[in-house]
Amino acid sequence: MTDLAHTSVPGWALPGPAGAAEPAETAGDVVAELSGVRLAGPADDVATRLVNALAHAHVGVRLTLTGPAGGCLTVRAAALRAGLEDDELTVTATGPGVIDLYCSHCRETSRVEAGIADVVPCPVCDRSLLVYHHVSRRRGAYLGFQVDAETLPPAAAQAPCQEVAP
Amino acid sequence: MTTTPSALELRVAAVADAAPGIRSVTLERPDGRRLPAYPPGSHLVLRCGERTNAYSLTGDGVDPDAYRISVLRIEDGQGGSRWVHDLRVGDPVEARLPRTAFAPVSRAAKHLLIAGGIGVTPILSHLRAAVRWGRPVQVLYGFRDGYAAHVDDLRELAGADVELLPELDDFTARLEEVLVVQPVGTHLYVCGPPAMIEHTLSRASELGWPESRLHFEKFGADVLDPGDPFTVVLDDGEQVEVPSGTSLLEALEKTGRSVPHLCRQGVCGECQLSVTGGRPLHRDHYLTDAEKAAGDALMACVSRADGPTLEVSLS
Repeated sequence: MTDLAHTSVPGWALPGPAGAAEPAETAGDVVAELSGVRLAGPADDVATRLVNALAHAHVGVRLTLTGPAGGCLTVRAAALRAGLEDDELTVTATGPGVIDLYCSHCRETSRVEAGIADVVPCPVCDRSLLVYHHVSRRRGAYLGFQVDAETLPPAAAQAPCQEVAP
Repeated sequence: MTTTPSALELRVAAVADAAPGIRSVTLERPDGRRLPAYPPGSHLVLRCGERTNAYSLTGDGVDPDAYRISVLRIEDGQGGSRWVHDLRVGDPVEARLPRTAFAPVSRAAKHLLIAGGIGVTPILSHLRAAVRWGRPVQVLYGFRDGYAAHVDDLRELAGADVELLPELDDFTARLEEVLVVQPVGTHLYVCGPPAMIEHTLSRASELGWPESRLHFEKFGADVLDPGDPFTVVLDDGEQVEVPSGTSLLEALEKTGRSVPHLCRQGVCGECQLSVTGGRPLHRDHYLTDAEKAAGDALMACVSRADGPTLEVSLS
């Protein structure tokens, strides 16, 4: 049922042939190189520093990203929001890693360990989410939706999608 | 049978001289109704007597009460610009709905607009839209001294963000400076004579601008050579000779076949045909480089065969 012919997941983020172990010292980290300037660390940290660097950069720069696919998606989203275009960035994913998953029911984004077509509980609202083969360019997150919405007993299916309690 | 898609019957509401040799024409509906909106940078295809020519619209395209064009008179051209210059208030004009391959990119952080000569017309449209929506903008306008159209419009719209460069040396020097200090997220739009567009794009590219940020609109100034004769083989097996100086589109029309078309200058994309054999010689501004390289389609109005024969499908 997963048709990857029309997916928005970039090729480098799709599961490839197994193998290619990550170098130990960079496991989990994303390395960004913006025209010679090297930023390395956890994806969120690199994303913040990259956005700062891009705010002072000029057209002509190039960005390369290396790291787990999930982290690269997070950093790519930040780069695109900061104005970078697809033909200015190159990504090499070293493996799947954790991904950001957007719950279309509670509208929260959570970091989970999962791949396309896996079913995981939403860490916020506990619904069983299918990791769909769509990833938002702007958020860098996969789309997750309740896998059993069609087969749940009516009472459960009609439970209101209320806001999460503060 | 060829239908006329989306024709508009317009009337000349005003004519004015924008600069020596440049006539601005205001076109309205005879009944005064508003006209269809269009994206900035659009052109209007007019039936100019025997010819159809594309002219850039100079408005911002939002809820237009009129379509405004400014046309440089080309004495030794093919007659379209002279026809426009001879228009008088009240004359009827047949037009097609505006079209564009030169629209602004809405996610751009800044719009760098570069105009050369009469190429200022779509740039003025872009500038009006940028000002209307509060988008950061910068304009370089190169022209021959004394022949600058719409200078007052540009100044009034953007003041210090518009640089007027009547000397070619100043224009090229300033271009070098401007290209290397644009914030990430800037998109560049250029319209002008072919050599000026080529220069701008090649310098930008050498300075690291990727293709996605570069947008250009060529106009009819680059006259095509008549080309070599070739034979086209149709999917019904018939062979049609295309002599030098005759376009593939014209040759097909002479056999009684109808091919949908509009601009006849490789801009609009209407007359695209599938190529099933042989190599096309692309001369249009419509297909992307990748599509041209694929070699499986061509624009019948301007493109020809790279070799003695070409097989095309009309279905």
